[in-house]
Amino acid sequence: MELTQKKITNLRVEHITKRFPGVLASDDITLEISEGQILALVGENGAGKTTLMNILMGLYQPDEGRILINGEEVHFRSPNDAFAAGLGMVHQQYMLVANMTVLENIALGFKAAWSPYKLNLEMVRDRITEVAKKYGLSVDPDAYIWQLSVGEQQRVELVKTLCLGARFLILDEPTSALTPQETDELIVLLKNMSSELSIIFISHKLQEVKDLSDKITILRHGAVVFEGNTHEHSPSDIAALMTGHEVDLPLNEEPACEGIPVLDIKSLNVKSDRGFLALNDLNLTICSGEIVGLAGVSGNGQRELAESINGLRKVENGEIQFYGENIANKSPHHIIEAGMGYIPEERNTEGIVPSFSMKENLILKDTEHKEFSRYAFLKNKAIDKNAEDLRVKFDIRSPNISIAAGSLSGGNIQKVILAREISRRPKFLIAVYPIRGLDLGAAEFIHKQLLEIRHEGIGILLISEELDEILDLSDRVAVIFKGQIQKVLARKDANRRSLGILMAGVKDDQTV
Amino acid sequence: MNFIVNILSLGIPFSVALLIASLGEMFNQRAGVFNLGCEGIMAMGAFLGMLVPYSIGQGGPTSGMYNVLGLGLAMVVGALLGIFFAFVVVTFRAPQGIAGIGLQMFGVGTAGTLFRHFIGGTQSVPGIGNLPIPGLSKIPLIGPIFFSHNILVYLAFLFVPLAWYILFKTPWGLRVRAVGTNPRAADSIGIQVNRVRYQALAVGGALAGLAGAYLSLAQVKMFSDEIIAGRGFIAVALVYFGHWHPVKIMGGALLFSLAQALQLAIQGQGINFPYEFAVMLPYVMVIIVLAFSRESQLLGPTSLGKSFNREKRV
Ligand SMILES: Nc1ncnc2c1ncn2[C@@H]1O[C@H](COP(=O)(O)OP(=O)(O)OP(=O)(O)O)[C@@H](O)[C@H]1O
Ligand SMILES: [Mg+2]
Repeated sequence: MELTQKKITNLRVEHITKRFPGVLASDDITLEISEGQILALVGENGAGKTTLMNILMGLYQPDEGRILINGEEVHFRSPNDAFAAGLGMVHQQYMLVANMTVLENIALGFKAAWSPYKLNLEMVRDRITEVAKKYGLSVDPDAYIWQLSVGEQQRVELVKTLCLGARFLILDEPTSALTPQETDELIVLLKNMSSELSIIFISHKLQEVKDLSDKITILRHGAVVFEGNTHEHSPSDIAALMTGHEVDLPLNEEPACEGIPVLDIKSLNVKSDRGFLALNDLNLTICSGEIVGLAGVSGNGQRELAESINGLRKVENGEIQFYGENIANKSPHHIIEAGMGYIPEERNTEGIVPSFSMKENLILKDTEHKEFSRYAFLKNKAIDKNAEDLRVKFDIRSPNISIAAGSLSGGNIQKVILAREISRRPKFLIAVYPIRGLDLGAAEFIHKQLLEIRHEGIGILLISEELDEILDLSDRVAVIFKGQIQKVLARKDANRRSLGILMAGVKDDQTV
Repeated sequence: MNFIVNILSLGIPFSVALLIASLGEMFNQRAGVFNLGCEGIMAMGAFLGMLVPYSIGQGGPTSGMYNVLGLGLAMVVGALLGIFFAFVVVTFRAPQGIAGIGLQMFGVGTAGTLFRHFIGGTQSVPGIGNLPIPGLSKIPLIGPIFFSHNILVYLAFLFVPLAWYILFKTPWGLRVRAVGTNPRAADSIGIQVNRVRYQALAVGGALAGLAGAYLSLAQVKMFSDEIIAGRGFIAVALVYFGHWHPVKIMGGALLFSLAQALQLAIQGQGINFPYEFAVMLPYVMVIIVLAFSRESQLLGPTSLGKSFNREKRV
């Protein structure tokens, strides 16, 4: 395949329509973007952003409409055709092979390193080093993908696309799992790059959209509902245009409640996938009816903490007292029955069974309960009703409740998990990045729900990298660094500055 | 001591048909397709491999050329059957298990019918003789165990590091592993998933054909309906057993074959041991090792058995 070095001075899609069973995913979309421009594509979960980009990359064939590059019509039958034309995409659902290394994953697309009898991995390694240096994105080329956190995988996706040398970049929620610093760096980087290439940028974080883009297009139900210049609109304007109403993220303003300690973690030691101690004598106590936010740069033990509490990772030593019972190294089934709820970080592999229907996924943890089964038979009526109710309440956008959960849009998959975990009313909830990938309206709703179950006396451990989310919701904020709790702050003492210092590893804030 | 040397020098050539077939199956499965039809392709290979030297070389002096032709024909037809299988399960996305059993019955049945038509009865061929390696084969103990076999034995064991190299060090191997683990990711980066699966199935088929021809030309030196005797299915099991890794697969093939040689030796020596149990020994051993070997699902092809459809998300 010959790669053209021709510049893309103008890319235009005309009247693109794409239907999936029961959904009109793209509805007569026409867009245009010229050289050096950054177009932000925003819209609610399920609005059709990813679908349109997949059409641009040759992954989906449009039912109607055409694509023009520099005024000439092109037909992309596969991603190879799109690459040849100079397009490259960072996918929302990471396109990485778990049992191969970062190096091998990038080599897969790096055809220059393919001689028939030997894979020239050194050439790929050099290219990665070059890109990592130039753009300040560091990745370990020899790590296996399965060993990486979601944030690290996202970085690999970015590095991969940059290594392959696209001249037109499509970024589908590239920052959803990056740390705030990495996000800021990426925004600067993309701004610099835009002098030589064009970018389509999809994000639910409107501040980023505002900082980065020149033009904005809003999609709703597959159709373009608004187009404009970014500098003429504020983030809250955009939010209102997108959702149709003013978005107002709720705050936790109730007095810190005085519940009894329900989750008491004592000198917990847990190993990471790579074998070193990820949690090192960690101590943390959480009471009923309070939200404790766990702030920290990802990779400091958050994943291991969530997994070990839920019985998904071996505890080397230490105790996890949950309502008076030590649940360390108990089975996940036992822990769920004891009343633990869990919103995991890996939504596709741990949160849902993609090939099961949405209604089945919504009762996945309660298949043995009286509500949904009797004498080893499932009660289909109750299951349907449950799914219909949750679909309306959580505004899950899907054609019906029997559709395979894996075919929903990224944000709607997240809503399925949230709906299940919140509606089962656990005694305690571990929420890991709960609003990752959600649109603003949905995020607002989820935050209200979390505050509501807190009010009912449920304790919540909220793990997030979004300091705003943590500051909005938490009663207390714990900062994790290198597998230990640096410090626990009351809400009144927590602010961006004090948390930032603790997250960087400075323990004694007297010294700053 | 002699007893042990006997078992080892018998077990090693026994393992070759299994080894070749399971390395072929390994490429299939690494690409995400399991081919239960392996047994059928082996049967065809066994018949065709013997047919050439039997019908062309009949009466005349044994010429190595006819054996090579026979092996070549077995591989070509094996590859074609692999491609046919790909057509059914990759292009038409038929369920792999059922299609594989169909291919197995087709292969075994066709080979038997053609055999009766063209050869019939118990006819043997001179086959491929032993090729003791000068010098090395004279070493006591080591010589008879490792260096007094036919040439295919040496080649089969040389193929183990070669298969490893192909799988882990070449671009094609990389593509095979990618399409078997995450076809969606491979597709998104421009790999033609179905094409790679066709290629892997052709390679796997060729190797299964070769394994069958090895049985009829080098091991048994004749053809019969039961010549494969379930080895095709054992080969499939050995791939799981060996966690899709050539060296571990070789270990499995050796373990099974040595147990078989031991079993034969026990019977041959007239040791007072019920032969029914002796015959079970190799199978029981594989089951025990399988039960105790640790799962390493993470490193295997996680999309094994699933067809790929770009526009379907699940
Ligand atoms: N391959 C598919 N099969 C069936 N339905 C699909 C498929 N891909 C997308 N859809 C449907 O098309 C609609 C648009 O989905 P899309 O993924 O484009 O949304 P999105 O705007 O990217 O949302 P999000 O912000 O949640 O990522 C959804 O209703 C989704 O369920
Ligand atoms: Mg999307």
